[in-house]
Amino acid sequence: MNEIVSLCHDNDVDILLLAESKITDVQLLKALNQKGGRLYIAPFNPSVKIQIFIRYPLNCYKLISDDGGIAIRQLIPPIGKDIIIVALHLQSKLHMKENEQIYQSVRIASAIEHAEQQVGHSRTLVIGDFNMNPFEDGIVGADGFHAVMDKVIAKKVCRTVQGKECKYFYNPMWSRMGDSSPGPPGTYYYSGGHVSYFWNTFDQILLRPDLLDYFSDGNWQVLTKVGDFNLLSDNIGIKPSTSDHLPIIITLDIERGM
Amino acid sequence: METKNLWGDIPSVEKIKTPFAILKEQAAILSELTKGLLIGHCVIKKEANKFILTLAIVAPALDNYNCKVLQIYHDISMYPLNLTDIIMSRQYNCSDEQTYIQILGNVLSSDKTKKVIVGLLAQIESNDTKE
Repeated sequence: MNEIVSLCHDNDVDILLLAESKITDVQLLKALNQKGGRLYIAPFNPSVKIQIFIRYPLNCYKLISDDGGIAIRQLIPPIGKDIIIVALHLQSKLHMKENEQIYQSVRIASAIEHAEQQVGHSRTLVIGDFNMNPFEDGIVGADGFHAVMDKVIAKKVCRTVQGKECKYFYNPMWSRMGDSSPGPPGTYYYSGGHVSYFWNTFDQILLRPDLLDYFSDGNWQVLTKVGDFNLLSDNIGIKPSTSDHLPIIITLDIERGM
Repeated sequence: METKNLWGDIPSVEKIKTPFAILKEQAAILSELTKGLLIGHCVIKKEANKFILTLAIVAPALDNYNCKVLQIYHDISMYPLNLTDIIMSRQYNCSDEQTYIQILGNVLSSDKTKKVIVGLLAQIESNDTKE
């Protein structure tokens, strides 16, 4: 819990999303708000898989839909553009075959488009544990998330595939894979099986092109340290004492132009 | 020569209640219990040889906020069917109508489902007070 609190205060986090946390809302709120200042609140959240804490007034947060491990919310900040946040924690490969993950991606993509039609814009951020790497079919497929590695392509907004218009997401995670990239080689470490990537990038952020004006490459990272506490193991991988995934932090400059 | 009926007796359809019909009844009951503040929304789709039933709680006063509660898969013979409690990520296999009704009841009346319903009603009431 201390690491989460430090992470939020050190990085001035306005929205905290947690998956698979064993800490209750009340326990974490008390710790987050211990020092005073801008208070975090835990608005009503039907999701059992994702916890949401915000440092905004309650009327800035609207429920859009929930479907298991997918929580879709609208954030309407006091200043700046409102955005859609899709927080997700998808089933692991232990419980879902690859083709099932693809079907799930198609379903989620449809839910996102429905939310965008409901809200009236496509300033959408998808964030969480996809349990898929950026190159997997569920992430890349046109009917799935259709997430591409190139902003120039993403800014084309959509393309027509077999008669259907398919909207793009931009996936910045491609630039953070492998040990030559900034930060750690991935977000989740697993070394089992005949075919093993060892470092996986299951935790991802995807952005619609309409959000790219408020996003820059220097304003997001996969964290490996919280204060002086190193999240990485001394040997290789991630220290199991905190989480088996590394956190991602992103800043969107949605007040720009106001 | 009279043609012999090889089909046998075909049971009256009125006596058979489909899983979707049972689900729709419960969806309607939610709407009654909450005086229309929450709507039980049922959808049935057919994919390949499977029927896919989904039940969601919809809050019209919260801009039609939609929370999926469960999903059911069955084939043309209806049973056994597979029921997924989406909120709790649990799956159940229901071998017959009796088991289906029992499991359905457990899911709909679970603490977590009630928490969702109460939370949504509280939000609706709260928004109503402000206006």
